[in-house]
Amino acid sequence: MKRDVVIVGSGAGGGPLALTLSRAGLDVLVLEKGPRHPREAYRPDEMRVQHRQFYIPDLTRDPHTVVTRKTTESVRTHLGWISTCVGGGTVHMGAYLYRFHPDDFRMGTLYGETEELVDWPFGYEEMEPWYSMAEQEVGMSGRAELNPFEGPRSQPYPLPPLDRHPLSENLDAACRDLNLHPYPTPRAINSRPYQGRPACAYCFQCAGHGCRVGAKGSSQEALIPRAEATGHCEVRAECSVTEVLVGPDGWATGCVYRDADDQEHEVEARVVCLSASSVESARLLLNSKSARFPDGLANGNGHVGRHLQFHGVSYGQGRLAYDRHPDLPLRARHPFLDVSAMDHYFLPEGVSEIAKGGLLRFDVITANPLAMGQEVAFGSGKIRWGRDLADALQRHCREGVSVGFEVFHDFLPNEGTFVDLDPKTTDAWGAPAARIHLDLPEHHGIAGRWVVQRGLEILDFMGAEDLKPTTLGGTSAYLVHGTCRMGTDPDASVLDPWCRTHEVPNLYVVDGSFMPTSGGAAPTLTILANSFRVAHHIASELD
Amino acid sequence: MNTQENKLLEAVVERLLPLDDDLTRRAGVAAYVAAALEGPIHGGNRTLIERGLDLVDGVAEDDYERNFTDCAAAEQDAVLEQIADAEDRSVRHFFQTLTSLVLEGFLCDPSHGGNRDEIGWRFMGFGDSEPRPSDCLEEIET
Repeated sequence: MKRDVVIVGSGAGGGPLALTLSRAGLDVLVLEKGPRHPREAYRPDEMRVQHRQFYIPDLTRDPHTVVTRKTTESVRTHLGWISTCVGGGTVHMGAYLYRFHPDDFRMGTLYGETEELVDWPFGYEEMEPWYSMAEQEVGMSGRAELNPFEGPRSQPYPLPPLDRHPLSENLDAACRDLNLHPYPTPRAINSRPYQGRPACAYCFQCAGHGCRVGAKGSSQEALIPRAEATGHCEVRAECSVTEVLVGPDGWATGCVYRDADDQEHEVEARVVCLSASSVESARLLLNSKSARFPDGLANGNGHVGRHLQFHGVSYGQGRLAYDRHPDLPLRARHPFLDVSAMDHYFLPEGVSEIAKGGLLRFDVITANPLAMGQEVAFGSGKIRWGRDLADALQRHCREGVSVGFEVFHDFLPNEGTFVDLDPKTTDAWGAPAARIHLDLPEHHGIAGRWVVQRGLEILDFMGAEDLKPTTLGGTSAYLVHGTCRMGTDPDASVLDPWCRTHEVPNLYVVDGSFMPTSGGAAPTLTILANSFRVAHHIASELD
Repeated sequence: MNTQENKLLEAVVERLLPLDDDLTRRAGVAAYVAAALEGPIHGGNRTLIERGLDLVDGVAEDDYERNFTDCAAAEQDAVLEQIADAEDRSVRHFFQTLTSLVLEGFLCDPSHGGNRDEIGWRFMGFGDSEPRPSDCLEEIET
């Protein structure tokens, strides 16, 4: 039976596609490699965040590999595996969903176009209504009018901001005293019951964990069930697509997948959409070879896998001791500080080759036991052990709290960062593994360091001590984009502005792969919004 | 690991995290580490840790002409200080990895075998000044 659309993957790319296309009355099949976890399965276990085994494949059977400037042979890595389950990465995201700034779409024009640094083929204005749609569909809490740096918006967030730790008032005041413009971090989490799902329970295990109550606006909770409820969307979990098939006319005919019992099946469809996340969508194209596409499907120009980006992230924190700050509400226990500031989204001239800074997101360092213990043992440069460690572990949570921030900043696409197929390593079924090549431009460290300094200044102004950067110019394990970039020139891009592959008229790649540049803000909302945008286009084409 | 190796591991773990009331042993930290080194997450570190423990015994022999387990606590600490501050990067890497495993064994979710009876959590204040990781959700479920 030929489906209208088969979608490979059910995360930030696949979810909006499934919902939109099934609402349009099209017959949709979603093939998701991972399982569908019930809410009860999302236990608040720190080891799952630290070691990731729960959310990503077993690397002995399904690895990625990585090479850097410092390695010669590729080594197995979890890098590029985001989350393999119904809902994908949106299941365990911290749900900090930001729009890009209008200038994020024009990096080539602003900073000098190169082979790697290009404009998007459309601007913020085109994306704006889809940002609004995504915010409404997943359920977002915030107050956008407090951020003067955001682009124009047609709709407010559907929900008011989440409750915050009382310290957020002090932090807001400190930011304003420093002439900054703090605003509540926009969260894809229900601050009130929404679409039949409850409001947030304010547990202490949000980022990195699936939501036990269903308040987080993941694709699993907010999008897939409503797609299924139309009666036009079937989701098959634990079905791993191994190849996209192409007919003699050069059009996609469907795909092959392997089920949980290792049985192979073929599915026919009028349209195929890959939403398996950047590394895996590229890998699937590269592994779908044929006489017409000897270098991989839709890869005639060799761009599949190139321009890979792992979003820039940097961190800093400080310590507020109870006895030194009787005026501050440090004994309150609340998981979210949720203060953001876009003031340093751009750098002053002369700091770096590219005048892009980052977005500051402040939060309490949540009291998670293992992370706290590691902070005590390893956080001061010299390893603490013995009586020293014992005493420090006993005192740490009893003496004060740590407050910190994350900086989201640009990952500049570069020649040294791309995905190809590992020539030696395969998965347990014989398919070549994705090999990640990683090289970090200097700008990342420069921008990260500069914005972290601004963040530390704010904490210093509040009286925090033990101020320190903890990561400078790092890369995010969860925020992955590029590999099938979008553009109007078929010689320099994989996808057209509608995420359709230039070479195969009914094959789309709709996840983070399309992003020509990473944006300063984290990409998840942009991936969701673009997927809604593309989905509506596909629906109108198939009518 | 054989009995002697396990005893050595226990002795080293006890010096890395010396607590009153035998809490480190009662929390099952060394048992966790031994099991973890056979498991999918940390199995890759097994050789590193075994070689490192051999080295610890070697230093004890050199300095005190005894096994590490036969040394007094202060002597054991002196041996470990040399390991912690060793010039050789791989030796320091062993020390850091073992300390990391000890922390997991003391503070992980008890479902992984360590932090028995939530001894580690209580020691740090989880359950009095801090909510336990599962407090919020246990509230929701009741």
